[in-house]
Amino acid sequence: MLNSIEHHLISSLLIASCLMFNIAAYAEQSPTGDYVEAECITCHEKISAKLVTDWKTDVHGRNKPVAGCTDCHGTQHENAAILSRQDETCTQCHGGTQASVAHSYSTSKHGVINRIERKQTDWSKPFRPGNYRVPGCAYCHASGGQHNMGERMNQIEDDNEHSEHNGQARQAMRWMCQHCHGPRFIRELQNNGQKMLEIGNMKRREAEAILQTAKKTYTPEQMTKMTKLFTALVEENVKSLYLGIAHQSPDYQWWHGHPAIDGKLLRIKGELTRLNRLKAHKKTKEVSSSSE
Amino acid sequence: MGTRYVYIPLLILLILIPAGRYYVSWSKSGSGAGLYSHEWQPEAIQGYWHPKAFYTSVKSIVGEYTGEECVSCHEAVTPGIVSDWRQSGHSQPANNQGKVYCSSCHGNDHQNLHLPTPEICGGCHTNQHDQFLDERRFGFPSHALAMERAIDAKHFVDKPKSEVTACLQCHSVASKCDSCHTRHRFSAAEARRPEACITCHSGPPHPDDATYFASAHGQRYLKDGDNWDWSKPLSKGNYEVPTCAYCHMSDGKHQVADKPIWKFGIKQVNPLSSGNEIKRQQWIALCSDCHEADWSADRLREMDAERKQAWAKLYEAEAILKSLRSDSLLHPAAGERPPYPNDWLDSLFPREHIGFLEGQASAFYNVSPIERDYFEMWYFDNLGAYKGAAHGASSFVEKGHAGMEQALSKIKAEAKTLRMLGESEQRKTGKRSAPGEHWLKGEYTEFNKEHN
Repeated sequence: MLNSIEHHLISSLLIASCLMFNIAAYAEQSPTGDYVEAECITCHEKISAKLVTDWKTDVHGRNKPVAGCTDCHGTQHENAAILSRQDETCTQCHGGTQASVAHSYSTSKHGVINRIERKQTDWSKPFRPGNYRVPGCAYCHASGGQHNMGERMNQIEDDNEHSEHNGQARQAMRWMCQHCHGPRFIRELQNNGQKMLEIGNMKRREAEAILQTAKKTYTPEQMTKMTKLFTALVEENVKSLYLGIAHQSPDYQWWHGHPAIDGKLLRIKGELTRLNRLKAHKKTKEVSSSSE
Repeated sequence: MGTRYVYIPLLILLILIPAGRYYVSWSKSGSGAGLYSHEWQPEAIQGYWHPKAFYTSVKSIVGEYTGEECVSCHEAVTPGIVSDWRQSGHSQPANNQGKVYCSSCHGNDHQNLHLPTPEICGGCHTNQHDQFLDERRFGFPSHALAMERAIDAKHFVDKPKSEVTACLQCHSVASKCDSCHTRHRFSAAEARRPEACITCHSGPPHPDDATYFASAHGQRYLKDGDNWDWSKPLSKGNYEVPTCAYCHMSDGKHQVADKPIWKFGIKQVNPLSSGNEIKRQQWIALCSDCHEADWSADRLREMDAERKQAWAKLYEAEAILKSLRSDSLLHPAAGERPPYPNDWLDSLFPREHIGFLEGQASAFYNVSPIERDYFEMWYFDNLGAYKGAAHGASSFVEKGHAGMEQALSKIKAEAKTLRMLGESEQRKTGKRSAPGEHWLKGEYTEFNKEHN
């Protein structure tokens, strides 16, 4: 029976020591001064190559880098980690505080506490269990030196192509949750989130099937309204649902999520019905005018 | 002879009253909770939102532990919550009171741990708990009645339970205290901040956050609020501007629903009733921290005027929908789409539900587009305008009314098309066309039929 406690203890110690190792590496005397991107990379390729390769795999650094070292860490070494730990660093590129990706977090309980206590928070502390009251963007997505943010992100679709990655991503995310929450709570919350998201995917597929049916009869021009509705269903509502689940915002799961998807779905159905009716109406009009 | 007029009704009453009571208690005895408890089963996560009904202890650890033992083990297992507790009043009690340990609220026996319900918190915080329970007398909407209202909602019962988990997360404000006093700090100062409310009070039907932050009060809070002393009680003179809790929980009273005249905004009320006159005076007294009585009375009258305009628009839209319903022109009509949720009468005698009194709140899915237009007008545009008026954010009043105008024109145009098509079909074929199989089929629609 004590296995479970031991398991917790060992795993917590393991995470703690991994994090401390990272921190020790960072804390080594490093030269001060203004740095440019190339200098960071040249040096870090030697002392922490994984950071650089992870970043190059990640969407931030892949192909044409959209966010480099100094964008998140600044140009001064002593502030490098302090800057990157704070949400403002992320939101400056991710659409600001009102974009759904940030707003779904800032309205969650984590986000609320983070906002209220941000002035009292000691951002120089490493992301170690017990150091922060709530997680912010970087705590979950980048702690432990993770520079490939996609690693811990569950994809919206859970089909054959994504399910293996999704399982690993959720597993990786559990480590952060465990700093405060019990294992059953985390497991059940994730399980429910998966099911809630899958129901969103069901609604999307139902809408997609209607579009497929409509395609057999109608031209893309006639289907403009229907296609627009479907795009909004996917890009706004299913995305909100996904963000609501990931960032624990009941409002995004619900009012921006499921009932919003319901609305789009029934309007897509209504659009097919309307096209069918207008077509039949036109036909009867033609028949009646030719017979007159 | 005459006595039978007494004893027969008496006998009927004697049978009906216990039968009714038995039926209600039976209806609440199923696997779910609430009036439709026989219709659904909870998802495992719902034990955390409605602990009294669904929480069961984890069985992995054996033994009884003292408070210090809980702390010393959890320091390693879940250090975040221990660190939180260490900074809480429970760990640093004032006036030489004893510490409140994990075991004080969760129990000692690890095989039979419980999640604290309001009753457990009320064991010490009697005043707040009594006030919280007393809120029930103000009816719905109120925090104290939130859970029963959620689980008795027909769409909640009808939809797959993992889809509607978010409902319980917010409505759990009735079943546990940490919605506002988050665990394990349980700070009154935190609950006084406007942000403490926004996890639930945000989004299209209740933009309380956005309307407050846009108001003059909210703008000053955003600018300076971080520097105010939030340890002060919510009493006159302690805060520069009012916040959510300052107005709705003045002097820290936990009857949050005590004063709103227009309540949720989803039905029309008589703002001049004697009860509402008392509320009006309470508001004026509250605003008198800074504002003159006449000024405050004018603001309240402005809100009444705004509500009157809103309801004129809403009733106009409702009348259009009801006339389409009378002429069987809604498309698809009830009966041509999945039935109104959890309503056996609706399966036998299908009928569209239009307006608050007919159950508009559950008519947001499996309805025709024009009905959904009205739902959004009523639930989103109308409530946005109302919250704008109540919280002093004129831009939201304008936006809400513009939205209602737009929805009304759309409903009028759509009604015209429905009438034209329906009447022409009736003339040609003797009946209105069928809306198509796709209203009753499809992956989610069929899944929902089987899963609730």
